[in-house]
Formats: sequence, C-alpha cells, structure tokens
Amino acid sequence: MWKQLRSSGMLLFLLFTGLTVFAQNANLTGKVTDAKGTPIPGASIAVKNTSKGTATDAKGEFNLPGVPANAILVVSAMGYTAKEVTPTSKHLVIALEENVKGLDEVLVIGYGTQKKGDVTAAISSVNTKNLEKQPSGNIGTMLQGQAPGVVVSSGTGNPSGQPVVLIRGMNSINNASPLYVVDGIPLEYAYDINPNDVESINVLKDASAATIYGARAAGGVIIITTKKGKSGEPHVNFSAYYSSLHLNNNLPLMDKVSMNKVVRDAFANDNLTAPVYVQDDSQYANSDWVGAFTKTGTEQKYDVDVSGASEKLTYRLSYGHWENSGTIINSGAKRDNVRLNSEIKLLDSRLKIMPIVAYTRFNNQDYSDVNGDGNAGFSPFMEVYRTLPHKRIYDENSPNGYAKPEIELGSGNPIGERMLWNGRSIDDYLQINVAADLKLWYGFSYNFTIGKNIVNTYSYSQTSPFDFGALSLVENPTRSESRGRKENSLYTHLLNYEKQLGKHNIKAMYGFSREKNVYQGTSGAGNHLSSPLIEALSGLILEGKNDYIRVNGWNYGNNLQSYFGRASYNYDDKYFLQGSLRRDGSSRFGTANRYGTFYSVSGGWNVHKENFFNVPWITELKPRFSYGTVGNQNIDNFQYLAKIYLANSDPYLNYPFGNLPAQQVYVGAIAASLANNDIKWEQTATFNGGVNFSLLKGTLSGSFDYFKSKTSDMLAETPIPTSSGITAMPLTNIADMENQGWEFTLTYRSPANKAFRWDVTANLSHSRNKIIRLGYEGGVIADGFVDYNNRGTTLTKTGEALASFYLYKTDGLFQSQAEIDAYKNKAGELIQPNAKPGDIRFVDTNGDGQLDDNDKQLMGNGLPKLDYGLTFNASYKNFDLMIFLNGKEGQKMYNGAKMFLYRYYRSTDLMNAWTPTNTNTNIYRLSNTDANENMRVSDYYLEDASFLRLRNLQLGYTLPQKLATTMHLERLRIYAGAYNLLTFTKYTGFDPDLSNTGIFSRGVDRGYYPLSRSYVFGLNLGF
Amino acid sequence: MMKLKITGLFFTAVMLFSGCSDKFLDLQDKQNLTESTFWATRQHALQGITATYGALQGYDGDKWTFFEQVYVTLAFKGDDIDNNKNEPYGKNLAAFVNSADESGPWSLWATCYTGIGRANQVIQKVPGITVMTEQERKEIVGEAKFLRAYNYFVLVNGFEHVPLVLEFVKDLDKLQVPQAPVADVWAQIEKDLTEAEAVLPESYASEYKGRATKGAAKALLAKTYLYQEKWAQAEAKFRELHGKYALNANYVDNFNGTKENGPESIFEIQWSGDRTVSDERHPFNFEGRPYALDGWEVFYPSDWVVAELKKDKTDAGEYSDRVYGNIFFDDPKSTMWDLNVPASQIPYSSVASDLSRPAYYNKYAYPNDRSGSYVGYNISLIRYADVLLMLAEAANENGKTDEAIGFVNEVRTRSHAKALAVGSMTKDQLREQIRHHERPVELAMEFGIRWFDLVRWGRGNTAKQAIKTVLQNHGKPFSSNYVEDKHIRYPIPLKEINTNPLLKQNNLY
Repeated sequence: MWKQLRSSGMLLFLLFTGLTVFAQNANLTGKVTDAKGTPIPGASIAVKNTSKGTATDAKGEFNLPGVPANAILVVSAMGYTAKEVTPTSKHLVIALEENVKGLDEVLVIGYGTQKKGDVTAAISSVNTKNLEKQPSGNIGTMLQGQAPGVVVSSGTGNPSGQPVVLIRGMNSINNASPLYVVDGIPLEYAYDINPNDVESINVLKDASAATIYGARAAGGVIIITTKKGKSGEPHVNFSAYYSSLHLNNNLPLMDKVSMNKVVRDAFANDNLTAPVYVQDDSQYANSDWVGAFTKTGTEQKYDVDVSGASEKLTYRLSYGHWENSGTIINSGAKRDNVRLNSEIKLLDSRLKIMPIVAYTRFNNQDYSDVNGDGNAGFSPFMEVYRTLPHKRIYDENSPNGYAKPEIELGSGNPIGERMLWNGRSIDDYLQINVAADLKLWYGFSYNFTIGKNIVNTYSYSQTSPFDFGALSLVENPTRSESRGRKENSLYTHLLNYEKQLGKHNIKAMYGFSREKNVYQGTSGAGNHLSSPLIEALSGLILEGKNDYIRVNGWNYGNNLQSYFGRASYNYDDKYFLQGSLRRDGSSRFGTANRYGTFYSVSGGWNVHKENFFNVPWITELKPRFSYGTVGNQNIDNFQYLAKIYLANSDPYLNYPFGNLPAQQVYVGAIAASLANNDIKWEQTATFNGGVNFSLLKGTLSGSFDYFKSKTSDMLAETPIPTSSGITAMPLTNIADMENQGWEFTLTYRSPANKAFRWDVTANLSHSRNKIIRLGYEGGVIADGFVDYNNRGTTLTKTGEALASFYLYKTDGLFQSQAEIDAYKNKAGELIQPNAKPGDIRFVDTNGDGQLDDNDKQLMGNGLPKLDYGLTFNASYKNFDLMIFLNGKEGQKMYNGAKMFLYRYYRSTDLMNAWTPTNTNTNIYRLSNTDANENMRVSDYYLEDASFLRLRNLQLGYTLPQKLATTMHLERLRIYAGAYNLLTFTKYTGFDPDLSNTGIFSRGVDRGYYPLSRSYVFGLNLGF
Repeated sequence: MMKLKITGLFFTAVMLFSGCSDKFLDLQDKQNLTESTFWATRQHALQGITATYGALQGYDGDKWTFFEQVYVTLAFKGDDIDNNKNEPYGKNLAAFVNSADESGPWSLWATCYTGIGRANQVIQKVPGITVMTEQERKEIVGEAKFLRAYNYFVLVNGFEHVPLVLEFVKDLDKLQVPQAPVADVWAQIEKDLTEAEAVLPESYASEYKGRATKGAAKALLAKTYLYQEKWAQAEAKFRELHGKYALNANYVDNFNGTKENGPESIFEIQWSGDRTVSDERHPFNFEGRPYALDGWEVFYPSDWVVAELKKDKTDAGEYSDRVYGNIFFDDPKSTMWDLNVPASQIPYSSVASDLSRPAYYNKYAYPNDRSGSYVGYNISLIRYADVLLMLAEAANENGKTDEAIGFVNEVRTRSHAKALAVGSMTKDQLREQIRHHERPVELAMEFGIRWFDLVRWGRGNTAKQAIKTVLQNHGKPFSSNYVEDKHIRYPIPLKEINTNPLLKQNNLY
C-alpha cells in the first residue's frame, strides 16, 4: 500500500512542476470590512472561475495582481456572507454582511463541500454557537436536542460514560451507531475531541448524503470539522467554566428501623421467622451507604487558543483541559487536548496544504456500569443502594479503616471495596492528518489526504488486601495491566471537477481510498503482589497453586478499499440533480461477498427562483427528494472462517485431571462456533422527501423531512438450535426492518436592528420501526432480562417494533379473599391460587382461564415517539440569555431498579405496602416468599418515561467594548447558569433518559449511574 | 504540449486510483486456528477431548452456569431440597410454575448438547489423526462416546423427547433436527456405552485420573438398564463392579476433596484449586450454608429429608455419620466448617441464635486451603455407594431381597448406621426403604440424583409412584401446583423451539 502512496507522492511532485505562470493583467488593491466599517482580516478574495486569489492582512487590506479584465471577485470570510464584486476601480472597499447562516453558507459534506442552497439531501447542520454555551466536555452529549432526527440518550451520569446517539431512530438490529468523520477521517468514535475545537457539525441523514460513506453509513454520518485560523494578527481566546455537580439521587431508602419493620412484616405474612438482624432495632449501625458513596462533584474546563492568518499561512493552536471529579467516591476523569490546524498556501494559492495534528490524553478513574443486552445484571450503583444499613462503614480498629460486617449481615463493604481499589486508564489519541488540495485546469482539482489515527491505551487496576467477610476477601494485593494500540491509516485521492457553462452548473468528484486498521495489545494480571507497596507487575509472585500470573494479547485488523464518485448538476440554480456511487471492499467478508455497491440519486427545485412564483413573504421554497442505499459492515473479523477456540476464551474449555484437590488444569480446544461463509453486507434503502423554506425575509426558516427506509439482510446474531452443539450465535443476514418518520425544524430570528434581539429554534422528530422479517417463521428474540437470564421484558418479532415490552397486564390489587376466589376459570379453578389479599391481580388477557406466557402483551418500547429540542437565545444590550429545553415523548421504561429495591427491602415505598388496614395503596403486600409472583414482568413496573428537561440555562454579560479596550481586551464575557436544572417527568426511577447500549434491552432501567444537576460559572475572554 | 502532458498525468492518476488489487483485502486470522489447521496432532486430540469433558461444567464452562442453572435445574424440583423463596434461582421450577422460557432447562439442554457436539467432533475427527497410536485414538473416541451417552442420559430423563444428533453439522441450514423416538435415544446410549466399555482403560496414570474408565462406562450402562427397568441386565452389569471399588472409610471424604478420584469414585466432574492455568473452581461451599457462616442460603434441606436423616441411627441410637455429613442442625455434635483462614469447625450451638432455619446442608460446605470463596473439590456423578444401592434395587426387583439388604448394609455400616436385619423386609418394604430412606439419606442433594429417581419411579411400570403424591407426602412446598403429566419433564426450551420449528413442545407446556 505504501509503495503506491509513495508513487502518488511522485505524482503530486510531477503535477507541481507542470504548473505554469498565468498571464498578467490588472493590479487591484482594496480593503474588506464589516457593515460597520471594521476591517476583516483573513478574508479571502478570489477571482471567480480561476484559481487566483489572496487574503486580507491584519488591517483588512489586500493586494491582488494580475486580475483579468471583466473578472468577478468572490469575497468571503468566516462568519460573513460571501459577496461577488465586479471591480469598478483599482482600489476597492468591500463591505460584507454578517452571516445569518443563509443559503450561501457552505456545508461540509462527505469528501467535499456544498452551498446550503444547493443541497438536495437531508443534512442537519448543528448551530455550534448553541453548543458553545453548553457546559459539557462531551461532543455527543452536546448534540442532544440540537438537530432534528438526532436522538441522544445520556447513557449514564458517569463522567466518562458515553451517550447513545441514534440518527433517525433504530434502523438496524445490528449496530445502529453513526459514523463520525473528523476533518475527513472516518472514525467509529469522536468523543476524544475537544468541543471547543469544533467549527461545524453536519449530520448526514438520508442516503443521498450518506451513500458516499457506503458500507459504514447505515447509522448516519456525523461530520465534524475543526476550527481553523481566522484573522491576521494573532488572536487569543480564553474560556473557562467551573461547575458543581449534584447527583440527582431521587430514590429514597428506608433507614434501619423502618427496614426492620418491613422485613419482619414480610416474613410474618408468610409465617416465617425473619432474619435475626431485623429483630432488635437497637442493635447494629444505621449507616447511610449512598451518602458515603456519593459526593458533590466538580467539573472544570479551560480552553485557550491562539490563531491567525497571513496571506500564505493560516494557523490555530489550541489547548484544552477538562476534568470531572465524578459524583461517587474514588472516581473521576480528566482530558487534555492539543490541536494544531494549519493551512499553507503555495503557488499563488493554487496549492493548499492543510496539516492537522491533534493529541488527546484521557485519564480516567473508571466506574464501570452494566451495559448491553442479555443477562446484564444491575448497576453496581444498585449494589450500594441495597447494602444493609445495619452494616458499619468504617472501623478505626480495622487495618484499612473499613468495617468487616457482623457475620450474620453477610460479606461485603462496598465503600471499602471501592476505596481499596485503585484503577485508571490513561489513553493517548494522536491524529495526524495532511490534506493537499491542488487546483488544476479546466475546472479540475485534485485532493490527496493521508491520515493516521493512533490510539494507545494503558490501564491498570490494583487492589489492596481486605477482609469484609469470606465472600469479600482479597488475601494479597492483586494487579493487572493492559496495553493496547490501535492504528488506523488512511489515504484518499479525490479528483474534483467544477464547471459553469452558461446556466449549467456541473460538479463532479471521483475518489479512491484505502483504510487499514490494526489492533494489537497485551495484558497481564496476577493475584499476589509480594508487597502492596509495589505497583508493577514485576512484583507478582507465585506462592502455591492459588496464585496465578496470566498474560493475554490480541493482534487483528481489518481493511477497507473503496471507490466512489458523485456528480451534481443544476440549471440556473433552479433545478438540482445529484447522484452518488460507492463501492466498498471489506476484509471482514469472505471473497464471494467482499464488495458492496451503494448508490443514491436526489433532486431539488428552487421554486422561489421561478419567474412565475411571486409570493413576497416566501423567501425560499425548495422541495427535494432522494433515494439511495447505504450499508453496514460493523461485525467482527473472520466470521466466515471456522474458528477453533482455545483455552481461556469464552466458552471456557479447560478441564482438570489428576488426583488432588488442586489438580493440574489441561487446556481444551475445539470448534465452539459455526462459520458463515455466505455472510454479506447489510443494506438500507431510504427514500427521503423534504422541503426547505424561509419566510418573511428569512426571519422564519426551517425544513421538514419525511423518510422511509428498509434495511435488508440485517446482520445479527442468529439463534441456532443448541442441539447443534453450539451456543454461540452466528452472525447471519437474518432480518429485514422498516423505519419511517419525519423531522421538522423551525427557527425564528427577531430583526437584527433592535436592542432586544432573540431567536428561537425548535426541533422535532419522530420515527418508528417495524421488523418485517426475522430469520425463520415465528422467530422471536427475547431480551431485557431483569433477573439473571430470567424475566425477559422485551420481545422482538415480525410485525412489531424492535424490542417491544412484552409483559403481563395487571389490574390493581386483590382487596379480599372473596375477590381472589371469584377470579376463576370455567372449570372453577382459581386463576391465581397462590394469591392473598394485597397481591397483584394479573389479567388473563386471552381468557383461557390460565395465567401463562400467552397472556403477556406488547406494551410499547423504549424509543421516543417524539424527540424535541427548543433553544431560545436572547440579548439585550450587554446581556445574553440562553434557555435550552429538550424532551422525549412516548417512551416507556421498565423500572428494574424499583423491582430491585423492592426485592431487597430498601425502597421507602414499602412502608406504604398493602395491609388489611392500609388498603388505599398500590404497593402490593409484603411477602418474602412472593408466592403470587408479584415481581413477574408486568406493567406494574412499566412506566411512561416521557420527560421535558431544562437542559441548559445561562445568563451572560459582556463587558462594554470601551471598558474592554481599556483593559486591553477584545472581549470579556462572564456567565452563570445551570445544567440539567429541572426535569418534568412521571418516571419514578433515577432518570427517564438513561439508556444502555443494548439494542434489545433499550428502556430497561438497571439503576444506572444517575445524572447530576450542575451550577456553572464561566468566562470567555479574547485579546 | 503542456496540455498533453497534463492530460497524460490525469490518466495516470485515474489509472492509479482504479488499479488497486484486492490482495489488500486478504487478511489472515493471526489469533486462531481454523478447522482446516486443527485436528492434526496428538495434542489437538487431547485438547479436543479435554474440551468435551469441559462441557460437564456447563455449556460455557462458567461456574455460575454450573451451579445457578445446571445444578439448580436438576436439584430444585426434588423432595430433598427446599429453595430459599426470596432468591430467584430456580424459584419457578421449584414451585412448579415455570414456563417454557425458564433459563434453567435451557442451560441444562445447552450444556448436554454442547457436550454432545464436542463429542461428535472428537468421534469424527480423531480417527483421522495418524500421528498417534491406534489404541490412544480408540480410547479417546471411547471417552467421547461415554460423554455423549452421559449427556443423552440427562436429556432423555430430563426432557424425554429430544433430537438425536450424532454428527457435528456445520451447515447453518441443516441444524434443525426433529425429536427422536425415546427408544432410539435409549438404544443409542446403550450402544455408545457398550462401545466405550470395550475400549476404555481400567484406569489412568495419576496425572490423568478423572477421565472415563471402563468401570465408569459399566456403571452408567447399568444405570441405563436400571432406568429402563431392565432389572436383570442392570443387576448383572452392576455386579461386574461389585468389589472392584470400595467405600471410603469416612462418609464425608466423598465431598471434601481428600479422596478425589479415589476408591469410591466412579465418575466425577473435575474441579481444581490450581489457578495457575485457569480458574476451575465452583461455589458449592457457600451456596447452601447459612448467612451467619458467610453463605448465601440459596437452598436448604427439606423438612422431610431432615426427618428422614434423623431416623438414620447407629446401634447405640446415635445419629449415623451420614446425618452429620449431610446437615448442620441442632445437635451437640453437629458442626460446619467456616470460611475463615485458617478454617475451623463451628458447632451449631455457637451460631444457633443467628440462624433462621433448623437445618442447613453442610455437604460440600468445606473451606478451601486458602481463600474461602470458591473450591476445587470434585463433584461426584456416580460413586460406589450409589452403585451398591442401585444394585440392591435391581436385585430386590429380581426377587433377591435378602441379598439386596446385604448391599444396602454395606452402605449403611460405612456410616455406622445400624444394619438392616436380613429377612426383616419384604420386597415391597425394601423397595420403599431404598427409595425413600437409603437413597435420599445417602445421596441427599447430590448432583443429578434425586429428581431423576423420582422421575423414573413416576413413569415406570414397577411400583409406579405418582410424583405429586410423593411430593405431597414429603411436604414439598407448592406441590399442589404439580401437574403429573406436565412437570415430570422440563419444557423443551422456548428458545430452542423458536429456532427449530420441527420440535414439539412437551405435554401441557
């Protein structure tokens, strides 16, 4: 591969030497200013349809030699609307209007840019000005509610946790995550980026836009472009905020005395003796474990950048530091970012070279929450919530300061266990990216991009010895370390063509790229360090058969080779047509199905430009459509090979032989999965119809899109008969699904010439999916288990939405034995023979006289019917205000955390449980045996998780310009605000918006780390 | 000229773009062997059979699958176990309200078929490995047949109607197999065991102890006859083992690791405290023990089995060794090991006030040599005491009641229980004594014993006993929920039916 790179470098060289000097003509000088006459440094002046151009200096002045007669100058600057000027004299003064994100705004699309007015696809452009005001270190979290059709769930409140981002809902049972493209480099993940470095974010939603990323675009594409240098003189920006984080701990727990009573009642109701520790209220401690486990956290972020531009060089160097102490003990995360973006102009600006170097250090003291589908268990948070208040937390006499529980209370001290553990990950991300853009002749230009993304990960975990009972015992200090590296190398050739022939505008692009990913790593671990003072694996010893030192490692990779092209045509800026094609070859598939081809077509019509259209209050009206295909290749490598499993992989194949209790363990190896030779791409075909509009001279603008997609041959783990001897589910192209929905966005801007200015943007989107094929007749996928591998809460089946809740229906509580006796079938048998008054009545929905699985009903799912965001910005004199609300409507959540806290007698709800004298309650009677199975999966625990959240509230004050100038500042703004201040919801769990990454268990609340409310103070400074 | 040059360069560029070869996409799997590179050496054959044994520990080899799923499913329906109602483990199974999506039966099903699938691979592939002796090849194939037979034995008794898969099929489109006639499954078990018996060695070198022996094949074959009420064949086959093994002098040595693969052992699931290679320990030592001794109290001895145990007395009228070896109860001599380091034996009286139940199982509740949490002690599948009791049962059915009493007494006297007087019992009395005293008292809570005993007596033709009646007589909680022709079998797991529409659900599920 690199041979070819070298040869292409040769090509570049040859192309340079082939350049000739242009004919000389007029010599122009001038100045570019804003509407008020303030000079704009770094503005670009280009001669239309040529490669000629220059940029203004610090005083906003320029000098452009050799301008041909009748030339048209295109003058543009970041933040201003570009303008075309026909030179009328040799010295020009050109005033630019401030950009209100009009139709001339340039959007970064895949492998190129496009004027917003020319776009025929469904692309959402995120207003980064609104992002700047969000106090968050995570670009994904910040996207919440900012673009219609981009649905972000908070994941968890863990500072290093990642949000779940879905574009247009769920369109695959496989991986539905979007592809991130950062400065032209496709990545699976972009959360290491400093939000302060982000210039623009565009979201490619339909096939027309995303096809150009072919096999990885099924989940949509998020294109992130980082900031470049802007003005002539070096310009420094500094910003900082500090916030205090308050964990939203809204699940009250009983103290010891209340719990004792509840437990005693629960056992007494079963005629059983309650555990000894609840018998005497005067015994034992009354500890607040949650209080000791959580803390008020702080979040801080500091950013400084220096940027500038001269005629030949543009640069921006930035440094950012973010840290979040977390809201639980012994946790926290820190990130440092350095980025240098530059642009070097050579050969009369004909050649632009754009090197980018970015480095990120991420330092995380982790708290790992449960994740994914299947038997995922409950969050470790819940383990703290359930810990008996009877246990003491601290003990001065214990060697480590933490108390060993009284033996009858059982093992474990979650505070001690966490504090005596020390683990961190320290990860380095390095992105080196050089793009070269060469203007050729006849409208051709050539672009070459080479990029390397290197991620080096390191983590360690060390535990000091402790004894919190036999089941929470670490005899010797243990240590593990892991080092890994991921190297992503990529190069892209692009050949662009752009031509205007009268009213015909033609643009075309052809490209080729290769991408190589290599993952390598090693890990080591042992359970006996010779001393707790040693913090290196070298201190591990083997002192008998209970000790171990283990090593592991990995070494794999995958390659992608792609050909792609795009052609767009418009006539007179009225009629637009665009087509794209991409052919991807992936090493993840066998030779027969290695390549996938994806295409799209789209069109648009600027109705408002027609002569016959004469509606003065409509400024823009542009209907458009698109149809096309995208793919999904997001699967493990070598699924097409029949792999032999060895030793320590899952499943564990080892087995001991010999005649001692500590027998020698022998290594086993065998086939434990089946190959799928026929595995191929998953493909999504999408139709999109939309309209862009702008009314009343642009004060009101927006767009509406309707989409319908069909994903075919979805790759998913397919259950196979276990009688084959294989329990691992092979990936097959098992299923098809449909997804449809709409998106609407509307912005109103008050007139700019008033002292009080405001704007408001609303985003709304809706999507719903339906499985139309699932492998085999009557096939279903059950998941969302809330009791180890039992009590599945969701079902995925043909004709229904992905992961629909599938539960028993309840009908209140039995108030008397007579009600229980009256609830019988035709044969006279009781439908709930084990029920007692106060137990839940479950509905025999099919009326067959028995309560069984067939009575479960589908009851909605964890995806919102409506996702919305509302951003309000206002300014009056030097004050500015931002209010950002976001919400979700119509999503359901299975409150597993509630079930958990009921089971372990911790929820205060239980103090109001049904008794013969307390019948006006919906809390079922206390019973330790639960003979009626009140905890079975039912709508008792299913709740409406719709919510409206005041996500961000911020009030800012900008120092008057005069005052700032006397302080030698260009700008100073201070602000205060609150993040996640208020949430309006009926949901009774921690938070209605926490979600895990499991596709089949979305909406199942396992008691995830809750979000924090934060109060923020910050400043922005420029000089 | 210049234009020509540039045009030429463009074409070069375009050629360059499209002239890339697909070799770039050919990657090697550097982490794994594949089917085509495996099964080539003697080591591969040993690794293959090791993995086949490995499936005895659960389909994924995970200790939790083994206990929470496999053991619980096999044990919790029995009348010798009372589960902790506040724990989810096997709760629905034990209350006879489980539906077909219960995870336990699926795990048991998957565990058996995982063993069968691996055995099938060994049976198909090992004969083709030429770089080892023919005898060793045959022995390894014999072991695989033994393990395949054992897994089918569990399946046919647990589920009854099961697919008979005798080949490892790799084609994803050919994995759906219908259920076989029950007689075919029994016949295959007998065939595999007969073939295994012929080639398996009498014993192994000490480093390989625990692999299936000729004796193990005989014992399982005899048990297979017994379960089919082929009394004569069963008795004959069991007699081939009589005197070939010996009872451990101490009853508890069967459970505390001191006599692993020892004189009484016929076949055991191997576990190990040696963690240098991987962790092969299990949690049996704390699952049943009281909270007050660091246990999880997941299950208890049923009141009935406690009462039955307490009937087991010595000549002097004291409790026999197997009472103390099974339960921790209110008796001056009753103790349980704690999990401290070093461990000590805790008398019942010293923790009585912290206990909420009158008795706990202390079988398998032994400390490890260091850390208390998990242990590496083997878990018996067939031991000689069981063989003697089955021999007694077969002999009694064959009319040799007095001789059968002798076999029973061999087991009783090892624990110093008073010998039954020869001639003191009729055939029916001895049958009842074996069924509802000797076997539960000797083998209480042991892996895969009691529930299957109830199943065979419930479905057989010789002195058939409805399980519901037995459970009700023995005070099993929720036995009123028991439906005779339903709960005698596990449901065919819903997950399995979902993937294999050729399967027919068991009656009434």
